[in-house]
Amino acid sequence: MSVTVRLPTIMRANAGGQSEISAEGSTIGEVIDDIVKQFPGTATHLRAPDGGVHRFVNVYLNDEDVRYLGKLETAVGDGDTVSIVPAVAGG
Amino acid sequence: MVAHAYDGLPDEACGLLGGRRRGDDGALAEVFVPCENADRSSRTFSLGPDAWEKADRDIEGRGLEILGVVHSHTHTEAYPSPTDIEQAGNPFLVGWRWVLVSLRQPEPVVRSYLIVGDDVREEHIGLVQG
Repeated sequence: MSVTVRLPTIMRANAGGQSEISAEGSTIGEVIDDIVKQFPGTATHLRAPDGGVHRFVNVYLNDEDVRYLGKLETAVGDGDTVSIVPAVAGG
Repeated sequence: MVAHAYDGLPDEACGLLGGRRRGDDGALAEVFVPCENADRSSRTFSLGPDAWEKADRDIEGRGLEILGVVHSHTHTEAYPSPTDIEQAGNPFLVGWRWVLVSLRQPEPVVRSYLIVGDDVREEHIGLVQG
């Protein structure tokens, strides 16, 4: 499956200056693996020390938060849009 | 920023600062983009995806970069909370300013901090004529 991935401006320097990239995968987890494979510099923002996805990253599939879908196992379809959004929060 | 903090009551208010970095650790903020507090809470805040994308595009469209995040403390001082310090470990936010607007006293207080690990360093803020 090929999906469009929208990146925040903060990540573009690590993605060849692009705001949208194409990535392959059948699940959100595979899409993220492919992003990091294509652009290793994105690991700074996406990868947690344990190899998972950083907890400060919110991932949306066609505007739905994947935490409320199937998390990293969420299936993606050809032509879907995946958005990477920094989790900006505090108290 | 202060008006947005009052508008957000009783909840915390938040937004992003856009501007340009100056020298090693200075910055000139030129725009504040108010955002909705997705938490709708008087104790926490978060930017939802729509707010983030809108603010990110707005700031980029002006040829500026995001300098930091602004939020209010409705009943505590203008100092980063333990939650703020923990969230500042976010790799997306490296080098960001944390600007606090405290509404605890009748007169609002605005302060800005750089947070690296557990180190919280206040920075001088001032108005410049543009």
